[in-house]
Amino acid sequence: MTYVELHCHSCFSLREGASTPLELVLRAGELGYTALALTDHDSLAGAMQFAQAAKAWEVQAVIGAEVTLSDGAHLTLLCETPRGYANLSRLLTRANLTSPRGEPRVRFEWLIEHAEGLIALSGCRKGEVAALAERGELRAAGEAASRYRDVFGSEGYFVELQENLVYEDLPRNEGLVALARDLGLGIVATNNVHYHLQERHRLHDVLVAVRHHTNLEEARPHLRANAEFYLKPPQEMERLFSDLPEAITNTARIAERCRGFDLTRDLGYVFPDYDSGNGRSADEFLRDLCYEKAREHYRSPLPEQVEIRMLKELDLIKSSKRAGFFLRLWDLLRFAHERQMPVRGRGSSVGSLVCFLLGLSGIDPIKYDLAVERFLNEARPDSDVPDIDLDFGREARAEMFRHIFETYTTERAAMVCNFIEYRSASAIRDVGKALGLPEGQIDKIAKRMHSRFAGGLEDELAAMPEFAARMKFPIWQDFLRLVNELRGMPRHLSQHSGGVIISSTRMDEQVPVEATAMPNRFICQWDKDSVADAGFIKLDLLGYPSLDQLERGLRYVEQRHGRLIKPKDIDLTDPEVYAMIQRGDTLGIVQIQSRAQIQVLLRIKVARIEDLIIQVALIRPGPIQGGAVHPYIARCLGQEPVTYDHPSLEPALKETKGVFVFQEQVIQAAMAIAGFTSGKAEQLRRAMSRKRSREAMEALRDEFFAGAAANGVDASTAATIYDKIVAFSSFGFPKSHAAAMAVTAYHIAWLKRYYPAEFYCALLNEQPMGFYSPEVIANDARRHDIAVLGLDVNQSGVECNIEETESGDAVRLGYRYVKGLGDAAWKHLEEEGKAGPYRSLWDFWRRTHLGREAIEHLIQVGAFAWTGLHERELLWQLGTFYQPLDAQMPLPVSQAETLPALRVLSDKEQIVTDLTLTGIAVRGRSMDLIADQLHEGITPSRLVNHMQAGQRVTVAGLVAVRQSPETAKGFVFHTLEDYDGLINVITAPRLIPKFRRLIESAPALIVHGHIERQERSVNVIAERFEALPVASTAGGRVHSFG
Amino acid sequence: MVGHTRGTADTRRIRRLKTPRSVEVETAADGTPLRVQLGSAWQDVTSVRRPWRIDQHWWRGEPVRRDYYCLAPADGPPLTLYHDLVGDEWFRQEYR
Repeated sequence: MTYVELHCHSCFSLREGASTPLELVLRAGELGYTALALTDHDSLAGAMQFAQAAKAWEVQAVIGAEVTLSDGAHLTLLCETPRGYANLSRLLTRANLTSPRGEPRVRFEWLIEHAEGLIALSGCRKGEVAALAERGELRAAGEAASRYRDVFGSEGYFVELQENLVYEDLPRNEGLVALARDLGLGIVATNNVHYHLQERHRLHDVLVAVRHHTNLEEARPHLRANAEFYLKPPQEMERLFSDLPEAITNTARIAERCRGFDLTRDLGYVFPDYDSGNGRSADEFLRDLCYEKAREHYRSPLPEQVEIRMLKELDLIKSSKRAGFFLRLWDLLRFAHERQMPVRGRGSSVGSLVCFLLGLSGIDPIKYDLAVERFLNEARPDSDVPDIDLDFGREARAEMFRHIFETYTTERAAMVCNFIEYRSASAIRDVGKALGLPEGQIDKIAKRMHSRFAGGLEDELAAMPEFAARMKFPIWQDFLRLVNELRGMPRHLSQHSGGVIISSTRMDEQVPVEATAMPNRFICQWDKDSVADAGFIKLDLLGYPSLDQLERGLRYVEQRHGRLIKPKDIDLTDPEVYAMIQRGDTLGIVQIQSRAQIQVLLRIKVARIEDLIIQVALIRPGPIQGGAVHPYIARCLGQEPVTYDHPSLEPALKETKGVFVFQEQVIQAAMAIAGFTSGKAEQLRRAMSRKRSREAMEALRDEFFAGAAANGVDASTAATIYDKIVAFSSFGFPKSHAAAMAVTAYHIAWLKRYYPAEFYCALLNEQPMGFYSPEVIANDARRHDIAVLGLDVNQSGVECNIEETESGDAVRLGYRYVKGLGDAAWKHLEEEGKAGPYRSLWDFWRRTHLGREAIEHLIQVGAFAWTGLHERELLWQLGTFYQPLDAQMPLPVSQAETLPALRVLSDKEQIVTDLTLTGIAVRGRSMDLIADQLHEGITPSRLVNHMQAGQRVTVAGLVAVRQSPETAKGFVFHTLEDYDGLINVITAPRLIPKFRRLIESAPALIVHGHIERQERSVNVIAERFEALPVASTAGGRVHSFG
Repeated sequence: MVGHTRGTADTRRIRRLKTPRSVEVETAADGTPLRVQLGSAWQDVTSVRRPWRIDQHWWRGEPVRRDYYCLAPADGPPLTLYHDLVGDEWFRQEYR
């Protein structure tokens, strides 16, 4: 007799289940379970994780769900066959798409349509039959059970008995057993598991309180009576049901029947094939298409290397039966290209010639010597499909989603979901509230843990004097433990950034689909890992605003200069562009504008697109952790010789002077050192990049060392190389991806070099897009002699536009930059602006009918300066337009004579107003706000760049960017901005405890330190900080990055 | 009495409790009461309903962990006893 738990919730029963699928599987393995079911509430979100973990631990995974019926009653459904799984998935999809969000309900009549292949258990205490039995209404319970039996058949419907030592269990179970006997139904024991270990019941209680938005005390009516809802040893369950052995044996019988469905094996996903419509197979059509495109690009006859590469890729595509996949993508991209959408490939697919020819990437892999193995190789099993990542402009991406769902419908397409996990701050807030801890204290702790400098919760609390003493109290001990348990568990379901899956079979039979808050967008219940495990082909349609920036800038060039330029026509060898890049003049240029990137640009000479490709890939966590950056720079500068850990690495690493920069090099190195095939080497790289693959990685490690030994590579060298590969891990770019990024960066750099007004105007119009605030961008524009002009209701459009002034080109801010306006106001202003200039504030007020606050904001930012009245006079005048309802309408007469004497806004007040309402100080400089606080001895940025290493220095400025990347080992990097430019400040971790508040949140700083110089790259190494008070609104210009 | 889990309380079953009184009990190895001291006399337990357990209020610093038993003494009406698992004491629960 072996008990199998058939009713088990994981943390994917949100705000209820208190253990992860993996914890449940591991515990089941420890307790000797041969099988375990997962039956989350109305969800299969954890099913793939569960199935994969169970497979690894050799526990049979029974897939199911506890569905909620229209009347709120629960019913446990288990998948006996693939058809049963498809039915369960469809039931959940249907429930999700027809019910209010977050409250899926299954109608009873749908069960009739979707019963095939499902085994139903009557459910927990909230099951219809159990609830009636508990109330003593046995006749009604019998009638209900008969209805379910009629749907699922007497072999497919079991009466569920739960014995959790709760008072009501005994009479209810007695009634249920009697009922089952009467109706000839089987009985089955379950424990309604909600956590894998008994001590987790506290977290379960907390989650229930969270679900009810209250604390534990108030949540008592909703809490379970005891802590018996854990995964009990089978023997314990057998003891509890010793008087009903049939209830135990039936669990094993049901599990045995459910062997008919294995989620890791039986999903039956098929990507849509492509019908060429003329009798040719997809392979033939793809080959013909590639030849046609290749001849267009390379001319006939095709260069030999092109034809060889193309045929190799086509062979790989044919052998893995993926021609339809590529053609479908080609078809989708045709839609984008025909509409001239900004689109570009990214990731490993850029290394594929076929992708290039089909328009899936914009980079010629032959020209840039990009390898395809990372994308296509002979060892990739059919089920392991390559991802295609595509970058779109923002609007283009939304258009593509619309197109995909129109083409494939929700039955064939869905977006990949993303589970937002509990992080420290959210776990602290939820646990703190549940425990009834004082809100102010919880808020303080959460904020501290939200800090980039936060360590472990226990350490942080110990460092806070008011909490250190409390830690010995049980409630705070509970708090600590519960927060740690909750962290990492799913909190809610969200959209993945751009993953879409398409299927030729019904999507809703593969995985449940839900609606999102956005119309016409639907997500499946699996995240990217589960989708990959399922073998689904995922298209990543990512938003890349830099494409919009480039497209917009080129459009301005065409509009102003009549010069139509396509990105592909831009010369990638222009020395002027490289000279600008070498100066580090790259603010606003994607990929090469960060402090770290600029520092390297100043040290090594980027003179070719190939150099830029390396540069883009170099400042990434992989090469940084792999120790590649400093050797690469030193070797570029001739400060150290180019060496290889083993001579056989030279072909792979020659391009990058002996260090690992690209993912492809990991593959090539594994092939060279360990004799791996390209497929095996790619497996190694992938194993290192995934959270769930420790075992796979260990197995491959052994193979690597064995292969290295067989190749005569000594163990020590093999270990060195292996360690570098591990350190490089996943956070590096494939060269193909870096090439795509570098080419876009170059295009934007070209725009900046030759059309700066268009560049800055496009950049300001595409904000927000990340790195620098509009204010910092505007200051950079000024340093390039592009003035930034303030709002003017007779000059401004909705967006920023370019004006020619006597002193050169300028960017005029648009209405989008003014707080308090919105879509409707923008549209109205655009329309009304066409009717001619405004003659006065009265004229504007009368014609636009904008809200008072919006007009006040426009006045305050100087948009009516042309009237000759200052802001306060205009505000006073505006006030006179608003009269009581019964008052006489004001007359459009000049009121200048009647104006009271009002003080003009000071320069600082104007700057603060500009920053507050537009984010950009147009009338003055933000630095003016702190200028009078700067004391003797402060060195401006233009001089800092000429100082020698080791010289002592004091600098001051507004914080433009604050960074503390994980790879920096606790170091913090500030970019300060003063009147002349930017200053880099590096702060060692030891200074953080003493100056944490300033380092973490000050909008402006005085920094005492010394100069560190490496070639042209200059940093200030901080030793001490001084506060520099500044109007709080200036803080909004700081962009902080982890 | 113990609240229903996740459900609305069935008011027909609610009974008011008296303050529990300490009681001496002899148990079997699995904790089931065998004899109970009522007044000065010890009585054998003739039958015991399946026990139920409560485990609540852990966040108050004084958790309530009890196993309840409905039992019939050899002489007298049925009793409800509980074993306080925190203090390892037995109490008799009476209803008004």
